Amino acid sequence: MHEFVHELVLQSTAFLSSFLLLLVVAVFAEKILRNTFQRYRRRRYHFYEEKLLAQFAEEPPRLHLGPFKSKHRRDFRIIEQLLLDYACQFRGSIRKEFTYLFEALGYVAYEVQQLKAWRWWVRAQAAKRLGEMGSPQATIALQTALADRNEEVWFMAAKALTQIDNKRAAQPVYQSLSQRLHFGNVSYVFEVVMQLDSEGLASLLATFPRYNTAMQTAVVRALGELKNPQATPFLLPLLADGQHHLAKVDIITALGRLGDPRAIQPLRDLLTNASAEIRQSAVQALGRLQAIEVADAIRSLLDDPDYWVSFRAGEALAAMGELGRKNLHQTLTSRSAQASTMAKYFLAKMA
Amino acid sequence: MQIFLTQSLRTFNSFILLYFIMLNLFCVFFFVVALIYVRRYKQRQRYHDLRATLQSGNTPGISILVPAYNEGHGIIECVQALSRLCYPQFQMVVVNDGSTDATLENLKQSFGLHCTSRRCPNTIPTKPVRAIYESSLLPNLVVVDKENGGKADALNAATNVAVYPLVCSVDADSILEEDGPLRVVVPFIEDPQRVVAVGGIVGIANGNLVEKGRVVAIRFPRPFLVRVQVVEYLRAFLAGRLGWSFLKGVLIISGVFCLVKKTFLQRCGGFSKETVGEDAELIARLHRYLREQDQRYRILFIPDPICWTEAPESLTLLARQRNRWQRGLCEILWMHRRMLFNPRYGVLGVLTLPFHLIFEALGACLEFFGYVVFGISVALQIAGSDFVVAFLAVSVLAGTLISLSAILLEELTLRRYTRVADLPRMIWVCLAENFGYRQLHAYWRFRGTIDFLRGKKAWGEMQHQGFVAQK
Amino acid sequence: MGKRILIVEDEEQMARLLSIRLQANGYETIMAPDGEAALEKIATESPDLVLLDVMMPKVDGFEVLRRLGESTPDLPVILLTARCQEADVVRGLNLGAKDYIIKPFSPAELLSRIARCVR
Repeated sequence: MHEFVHELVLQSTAFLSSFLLLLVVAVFAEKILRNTFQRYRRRRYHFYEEKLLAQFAEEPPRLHLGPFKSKHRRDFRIIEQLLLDYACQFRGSIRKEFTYLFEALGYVAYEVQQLKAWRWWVRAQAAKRLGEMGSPQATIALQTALADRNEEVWFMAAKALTQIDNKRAAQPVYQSLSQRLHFGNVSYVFEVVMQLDSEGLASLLATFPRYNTAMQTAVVRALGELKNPQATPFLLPLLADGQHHLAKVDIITALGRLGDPRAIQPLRDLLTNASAEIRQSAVQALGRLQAIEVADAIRSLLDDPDYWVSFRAGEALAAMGELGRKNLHQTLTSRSAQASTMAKYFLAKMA
Repeated sequence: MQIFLTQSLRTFNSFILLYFIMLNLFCVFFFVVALIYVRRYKQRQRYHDLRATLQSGNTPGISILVPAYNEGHGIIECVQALSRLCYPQFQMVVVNDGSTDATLENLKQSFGLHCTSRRCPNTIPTKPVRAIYESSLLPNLVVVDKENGGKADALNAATNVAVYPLVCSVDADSILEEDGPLRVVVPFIEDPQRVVAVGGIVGIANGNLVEKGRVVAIRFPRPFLVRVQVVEYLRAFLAGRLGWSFLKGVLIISGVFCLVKKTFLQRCGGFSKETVGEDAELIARLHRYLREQDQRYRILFIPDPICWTEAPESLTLLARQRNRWQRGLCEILWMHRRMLFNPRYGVLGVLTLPFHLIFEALGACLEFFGYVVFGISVALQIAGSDFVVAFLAVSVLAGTLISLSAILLEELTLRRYTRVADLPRMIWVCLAENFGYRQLHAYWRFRGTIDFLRGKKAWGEMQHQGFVAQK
Repeated sequence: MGKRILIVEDEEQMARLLSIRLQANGYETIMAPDGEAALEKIATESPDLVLLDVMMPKVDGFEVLRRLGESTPDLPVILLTARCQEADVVRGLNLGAKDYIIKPFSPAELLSRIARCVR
């Protein structure tokens, strides 16, 4: 037994030592190569950057192709990175100049080719770049990329299509969102829903019941940010539905952010809910909605046994201006110590 | 009699060899896993836009908890640096844990604090809170003044006052990267139903150029002891924890920075005052609570440098720190002994805790005795030359190899230390640490285990050297 | 026109870009990479307008704004801000900034806002 162990280790010692040496050499080589390459890259980047900035010095700025038609194939990617870095700083007419530049120099065609790469991160990066380039020439390729199995690629393609200045380009995005019923990363759902227009939103809401809980939550959150009038009549029945598995808190928060006064009465009914979490979010939402008509109901919550419910109630009243201040003032003399402390705190904040 | 002694020593030596082989095999496994993980993360980072996260309405707010005890002037710099964080909605909750120096005074003066009538809710029971202050200069700063109760108690009080759904605890003497929280919050946005806690990579700040509370340049430090710690952190964070994160059995998220959901923190009962390793204990308790509730969850680790912390530069302080860590680990293993080898607690119970028990807690003793017995065997000329070579191979050679692969991993992925001249120094450290430091470390850990068994509880003092801006 | 504009921006690329665009339109530009340098330059060079970046907190823009409000309230300040930082914009305008522009920006828009503030 001992001999076996010793033998095993002796054999591997030789192996380990040579592996060690190899590793040292590898690490060194990698470092030196990388540093050299980076320095070269930086030098070329600055070289082309000067040329670009010289063009900016003209009034009005016009971007000429000439300096960027490089003789070296190596500089191809470097110039692409430079142009993208600068294109992202701008909006407006100069962005169109950049788009023309990308098309003329062959970058759009190159990235469209990259969309067919077998490595998913290359595809995702290509889609992202195409979005930043903003060229309608890439529309069809991006729409095809929407069928990609990889979520990241899908998301980059979807985002790219919404960035291209063409309403019809983004249509397939909404359809594809309705078809993909499962997402590992629900923030993508959120981001894409944020880009939807009314038409796309309507079709999305039609497919809503087929999504899983995580996706539905993401859609509800996005609805809160979109401030679309379709949202409130959609969310209210979800709220009333006692069986629905969606977290009520998310729906309430979204209703608060929407700013639609139709939500005030249903939210007011929730102020007496048994769950402290729901009471808290309902009060917060009512505060955002500036629901002056239910100020009395909110004031009674200053006395709530849960600290955060009374805190949010105070916050809501503090956001209501004069009426809120009056209500807080009246609570100063309340019998409940918590209510009066909370009122004092928020009155001091309002001053 | 002598034959019996020789025979038992020989057996013990073989046993030690086996121990080292097992340990190194685990390290190799972690290294491979970490490589895949970090590469994937870096690939995503190439096209993932942090600015989108900054501007999105989907990004949850975070409350940063800063426990402060006798921090003196350092607390002002810390709060100022935190206030410049790049994050859409955040709050800073500084807890003055009954400091005996001018910490509270400094805060009052620098930030124009005024006392509010706000009361602190007792969701997690803590020592009494004297007052809650708010600042006129920094609207998102809240200072809680309470009676001394220890770091865990201070963190609990801060959690009670925190407004946002995510909390993260930060040490007052550590430096947070400007967009650190932004990167750590990404898993929470991507999987809001399941992710409960996320940790990031902590680096060593000694030797870095620090200006106005920000790390401006990363440099490999000069003192040998600190260099060894840098390599250790690379091994532990880059390889070790990522491996565990991949296996879904994360035990230790560094207390220096970890982002946790507030509701779960409160439901678990907050940080524990019973142990010096309260950060890891919290994670263990979270695992336990969530498993017992049969809730699907994820606790993970992202391979992104988030935070820089000051490493002890003297042997005494380092010994004390390692002693404390070892005691903390043993305390956690003892407090959660029910989870050991229990399949109900998933990977944590079946793999992580036993691993830490065997290779860290007991392993410390084994390693220490291994070195001692090795020394004796050589002195008494009991061990054969093949054994000596074997022992040196598994301990020194394999150790160097593991450290070297950690450096390779860093070079292939994070690339924080950019100067070519630093590389031979790092490689030298990998080799040199096996002759002296490793044995010393084994001894400290052995003492730590003994101290735990004897019931020692103290934290020990950490002298602050401050961050020296080396020009 | 000969008006002098102070650009307070820590991102070098952006700063150079702004500088070149402004110079192409006849303005003189002064650069400052952070808050302290900005205040120094204001004291020594007395620019006619300040372009202040508040997007990356490194610049500590609000501190600069506050001190400007105290020392030279007549100096117009235009904020460069990100799309979604509404709270920052409000804070900046309350502290005395004249106008703001969102990044990514349209050069024509920037120039017209500057022209309006400098007048």
